[in-house]
This record gives sequence, structure tokens and C-alpha cells, in this order.
Amino acid sequence: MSLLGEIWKIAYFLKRDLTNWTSYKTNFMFSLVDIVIASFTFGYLGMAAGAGNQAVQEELQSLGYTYLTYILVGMAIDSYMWQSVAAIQESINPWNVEEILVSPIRLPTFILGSSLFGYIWSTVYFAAYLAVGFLYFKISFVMNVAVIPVLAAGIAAMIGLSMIGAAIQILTKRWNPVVWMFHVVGNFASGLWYTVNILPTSVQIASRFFPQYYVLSLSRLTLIKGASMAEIWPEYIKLLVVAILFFGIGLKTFSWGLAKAKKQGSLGHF
Amino acid sequence: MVDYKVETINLTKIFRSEKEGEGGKFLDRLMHKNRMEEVKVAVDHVNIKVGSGELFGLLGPNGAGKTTMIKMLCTLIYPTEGTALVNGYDIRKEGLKVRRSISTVLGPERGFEWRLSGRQNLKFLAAMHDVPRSVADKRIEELLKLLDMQKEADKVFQKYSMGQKRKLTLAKALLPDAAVLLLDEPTIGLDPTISREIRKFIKEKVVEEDGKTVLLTTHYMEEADQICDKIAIIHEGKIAAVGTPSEIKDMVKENVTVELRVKGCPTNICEMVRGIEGVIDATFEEHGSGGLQTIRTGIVAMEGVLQRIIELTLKSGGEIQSIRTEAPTLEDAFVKLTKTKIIGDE
Repeated sequence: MSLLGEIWKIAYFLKRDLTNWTSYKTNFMFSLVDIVIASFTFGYLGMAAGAGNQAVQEELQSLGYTYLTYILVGMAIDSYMWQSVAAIQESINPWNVEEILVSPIRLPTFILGSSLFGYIWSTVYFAAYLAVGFLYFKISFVMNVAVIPVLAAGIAAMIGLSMIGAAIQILTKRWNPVVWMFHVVGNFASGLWYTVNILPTSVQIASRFFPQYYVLSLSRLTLIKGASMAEIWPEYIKLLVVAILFFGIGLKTFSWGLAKAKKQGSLGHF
Repeated sequence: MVDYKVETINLTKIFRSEKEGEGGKFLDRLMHKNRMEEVKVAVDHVNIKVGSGELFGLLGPNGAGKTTMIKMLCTLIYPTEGTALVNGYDIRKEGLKVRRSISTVLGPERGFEWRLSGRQNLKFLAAMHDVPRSVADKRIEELLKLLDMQKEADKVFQKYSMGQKRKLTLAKALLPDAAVLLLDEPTIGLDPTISREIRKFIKEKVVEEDGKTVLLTTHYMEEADQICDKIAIIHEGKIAAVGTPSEIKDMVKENVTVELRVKGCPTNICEMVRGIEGVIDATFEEHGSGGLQTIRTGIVAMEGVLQRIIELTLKSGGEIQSIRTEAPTLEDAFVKLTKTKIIGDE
């Protein structure tokens, strides 16, 4: 099948999800309200907590951030991370997995197609956080293309994690809390809401194994300080290694899970 | 050389699962220490051949292995042993080519978006199955018309009746120009009118007009008898018999059902009839008014058996009102073939 054909399929996924989503009449209004409230909540939280812990203040000052910019960028980036963790688990479920696997659709097309709408929604959140920061709290962000490869590597790593979750879900027929826990623990240890230096040393070391640590720190460097790829590449390489590792393990686990379910004959069971 | 669209070669599936054993200490049960392995042979060395343009029915009761067969053929379940060729491609080695050759009906509600209309669902699925845009819209309209679904096409899927869902599932299976259609119980749970419509559609449109090869599973004898060119009776994972519906019925042609309407027979006539050589079974029923009685008996089509029953009835003081004989049905054949020895494969 041609690349154009695959793009066409992805467009159909988008159309399907948009139609599906708009069929929930109150959904659009509530989602917009949610975005605005979330942006302001974290904005005010940033202002309120900014004067708090001394160690955080010192760390942030040394980095050239305020707590407000720190948390708004963190939350904006996390909307992509969260979507990536949920992507595969949400799009492959016992109700549709057999129909997908019996069709000639390629797995990457399916994954991209069925999660694209979610990423568009993440982008709306991302834009809302930055817009509220810029327009209301008068923060100036740097529109820096270097954030794109950082996000791409982070998304790949989290999709790897999502594939592990999907494999467990296919085999156990239950929603998988392990991946969700990993995301939550990752956020706890990787500096989403506070700087890592206030955590116990062992957790600080552990944070280096979470992709979120690199994605968040590099995104802040690019969006707040305007750092270029030339400046961030040593840390970016580390993120790439983690991303390749996570994605590879995720893909392998997912293939293993599918093969095992086919052997057990339990693909469509729920 | 015969062009087979589906050919299974010793196709076998054994499911192994663990179940909790009875009794045992609480701690052992908690730690799953008394789990036992359960082995179920779902499909047992099956060899069938489905020719091009043939409507082949896999007939069997629930749990006979029909769905497992279909799922192995569409690569959703790996065989334990043996293999199958679908449109010439090996299900073990050429999964993608197999999937490009087939179209399936696996369940009435699988693969559809509940909040999208029937038409929207079909458009989406057409794109997923590589149906060119220039063809998709036209084909969708044709299918909706053929299945008499035009009025409901723009209604959301969740509001469809079971029959409409089944029709849409069939439309989905017919969207791609697949060489082989694998239909798992396409009329299960439907009322007789819709079942008849769907059967007619499969037989006349899909097979006879479009020349598609169809392998369908069913546990409805009538369905298999009415539309299938060839039937395989599957029982406990094994093929009990393969042939045209007439050939299968001929396998039990020696079994004839005879119904005698009589008057004045003693109530022990049944036992007396059963004593005649060549009688398989006999039942006796007394109808309330007019002293009418019915003797229903299954006999082996041996010379003189019916004559002896008549003589016995008259001798016992009975007066024969009418005699009716029935040729064996597919159901008779099915019961006999699955209760007696497994004849083997083709």
C-alpha cells in the first residue's frame, strides 16, 4: 500500500474520532472549560507555591526559571506524555482487537491513526497552558523548534510504555495499573511539579531512568531559556537512548503479548 | 488441478488452561498451588477442501470447534498442529497475504463505532480495507440497497436492532473485494424472516452472482441444508462427515420414520413394535377425542419391516387410519453421525 494510502487511512481515523467526539453534545463545552480551568489552576498554583521551599527557589533561580513558568511548561508537556501512555491501551481493546488484526491495516498506521485525535487534543492543552501563561500571567516563552525532537523522543518512550500496557491488557483482559503507576511515579520522581533536587538522593538517581525526567528538563530549557539542539544534545542523547530502549521493549512485549494471545486463542475474550 | 480456496491439512488446535483444583488447604488455594492443567482439543486433525465459488458449511453444535476453525483460518489463533491454505497462502507463514484475501464476519457488534451511523462506519471500514475511494461510496450504496438498509443507513449503530447489526456486519464483509468470505454464524439469534433474507443474499448474490467462495459456520440444520453446496459435520473438533446435503442424508438413508394413525390399539403396542427386527425405536401417543392414536417409529429400511408393523397393529385389534413415511433429514443424519463412529476426513 502506498504512503498516500496510509495517510488517507489516518485521515479517516481522525474523521471518525472527530465525529465520535462531537456526538457527545456537551463534551466540547466541558472540555474547553476543563482546559481553561486547568491552565489557570496550575498558573495560580505556580504563583502560590513559588514562594515556598528554599531549595526549590534556589534551584529554580540557578536555572533561570520562576516556579510559575516551571509548572506551566511541565503541565503543557505532560499532556503529550499522558496521551502517549494511554494511546495504545485505549485504541486496542478486546472489542476491536480481532477486527483490527484481521484487516490488512498496518499496526503503525493503526496506532498513529487511532491516537492522532488525542495528540491534537494534547496540542490544544499545550497551547492553552502557554497562552494563559503568556496572556494572563505575562510570561514570555520561546517558540523553539528544538522542543519538537524532544517531544518526539518522549512520545516514543511513552508509547513504548503504552505498548507494554496494551500487551498486559490483551493477556489479562483487565485495565493495566502498572503502566499508569509508572507514569505517576515517573511524574513524582522526574520533576513535573518540583525540582528533583529536593527529593531523596536515591529517588534523584532513579529519576534518570524515567523518560519524563529528560523530556521535562529539556523542554523547559528549550521553551523557557530558548536552548538550541547544539546546547542540549548531550542530555538529548540520553533521552534518545531511554526512548529507543522503552520503544524497543514495548514493541517486543506487544508482539509477544499478541503471539501469546493468538496461541491461547483469547484475543477477543473479555 | 482443482482450485481450492480453502484447504486445511491436519489442522489442530489444543487449548491448555489452568483451573483451580477442588479442596486443598486454604493457603495452597490462595497461592494457586492446587491448580491443574486442563486440556481441550478444540479442532482435531481436520482436513477439508473448499472449491472456488463454493458455499461450504461447517455444521456443528456449540463448542464443536467451528469458531476456532474460522479464527485459525483468519490468523487470529495459531494452530497447534497442521496448517491451512487460504487462497493459496499458508496461514502459518503468510498471515498478511491471507488477511488480504479474506473478509470475515466474527460477531455482530465487533469492529463498529457505536456512535457513528451505519454509513459512516462502512466508509471508515472501506478505507481500512484498502477499498479505493472511487469505488467505496458506490459499493456502500449498492450494499445498503441490496440488504434493504437504505432507510437505516444514517441512524447511529447503537440504535440498530440485532438484525440490522447483522446486516451491517455482512455489508462490512462484502466491502472489500475479497476472494474468500469466512462467516461465523451469520444468522445466529435472528428472527426467521431476516435469517431467510440473509441466507438468500449469501447464496444468490455473494456466491452465485459474484462467484465468491464462502465458508460459513452454523448450528442450524435448515440453514446448512438450504444454502450450502457442501457441508462438513464437525463434532468435538473432528469432522464426522463431508459431502453435499443429499450425500450426507444418504449416509443415513436406511433410517426411515413411519407414522401410523390408528384407533383401538392397546397401550403396550410400543413394546410389541419395538420387538420387531429392524425397528430402532417407537413411541405411542393417545389423542383425547375420537380414540385416535399415533405410533411413531424409526425403522431400518429393510424389506418387510413396515409390513410386519402393519400386521402387528391389525393383530392387536388396531384399526389403521393412515400411514406416513418420512425420508431422513439432515438433522437425522447429524444425530446419527455424531452419535456413532467418526467416519473420518475427506
